[in-house]
Amino acid sequence: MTGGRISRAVGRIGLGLVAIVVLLGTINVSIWLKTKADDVDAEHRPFAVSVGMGQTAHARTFVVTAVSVRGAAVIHDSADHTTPGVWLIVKVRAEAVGETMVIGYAAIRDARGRLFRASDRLDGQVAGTLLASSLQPGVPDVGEIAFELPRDAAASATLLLAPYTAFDLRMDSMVEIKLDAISPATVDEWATDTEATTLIPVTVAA
Amino acid sequence: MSGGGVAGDRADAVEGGQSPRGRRGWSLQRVTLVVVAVAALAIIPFGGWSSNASSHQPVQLGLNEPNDGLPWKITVTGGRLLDDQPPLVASVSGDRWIVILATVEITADESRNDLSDALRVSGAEGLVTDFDDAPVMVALVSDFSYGPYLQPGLAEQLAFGWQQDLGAPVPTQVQVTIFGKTLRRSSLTNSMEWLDNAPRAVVTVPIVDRRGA
Repeated sequence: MTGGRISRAVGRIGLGLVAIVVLLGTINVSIWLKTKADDVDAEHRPFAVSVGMGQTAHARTFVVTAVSVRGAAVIHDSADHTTPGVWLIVKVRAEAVGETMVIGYAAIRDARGRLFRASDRLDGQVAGTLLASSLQPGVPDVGEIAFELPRDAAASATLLLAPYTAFDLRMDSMVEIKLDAISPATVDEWATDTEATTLIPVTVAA
Repeated sequence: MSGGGVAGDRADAVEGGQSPRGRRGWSLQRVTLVVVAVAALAIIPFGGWSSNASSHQPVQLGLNEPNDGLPWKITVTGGRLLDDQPPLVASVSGDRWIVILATVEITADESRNDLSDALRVSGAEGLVTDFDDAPVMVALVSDFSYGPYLQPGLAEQLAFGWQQDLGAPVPTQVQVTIFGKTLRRSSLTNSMEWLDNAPRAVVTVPIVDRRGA
């Protein structure tokens, strides 16, 4: 084989390799572009149902109303639960729509966009009260949910509620209830109150 | 015949390795250079050849020195050796506990309950651990809530517990490594997730023996 033939053969192999690499590179760039262009989190975000305090929000599987808000420095159940911030306690009336369901997700979103999950330090919020209770259609329940917040987060809070589906909140209703503004003085008063409070048990609403 | 003459010239030239294509000279070196250059360009979108793992070496910190970062800020404040006693419950009755005390503040924008990823200990033998040398117990010191959600902006005292076999040597100090995570888009789900648990700092912690106290 002459040098020219070898050179041509090498050239063809080289062109083939270049073509493969270019193809892979194109695929890579396409994936990169798709990754940058697609915001999966935004695409799959929950469907917000926004209301104010005292108004009824109609989600896909439940109906809910935030009835009132109070605060405390210490919550007592089987133990005293203190906090370096303040406890924000929201009284909620909720009812299932169509079939039995559980509100498993509750959080407060503050003015800075931070998300505070309902505390799982309390006995009742682990099992037996509103967040873990099975809600029945036609039987509204009333109960309280407690959140542990920095004092500055309590002043302007939005309550988020969504059905429990293995912590998957994608593409289902999420109720967003803008709670009434609370003055810093009131928050400070709650945070310095040394008397422990207890959460009301879940009861059937009147 | 002029046409036949041209064809004949081309055939001759090809036979002699003198075609225009042949004269361009696709040498092995050129091909290699082109392939390497294109391959290098092709991987740029994925960060080149750099490793995903952080190349930062963990810093050495003293006791009570805070370690800032995401998604948590951690200050290791002490270590204890404790008997198996309520509220501690060892899987093997009679084992003892190495407990690391730390102040933890969530610096991410969302509550977190994955603090078992935050600390690891080394320098103690006979540890009974769950997955990945994680502590078998993470609890709030204030009310001993196990593995609770910690809230952004609220510093809490936590106890991280590792069960130690009773027959293992009693440690007088351990190395505690503080880990952090990175919020990035998952290549698996394409959504933003806290991933890449990586060491940020190491603290040498004296263990105070409080057994029988």
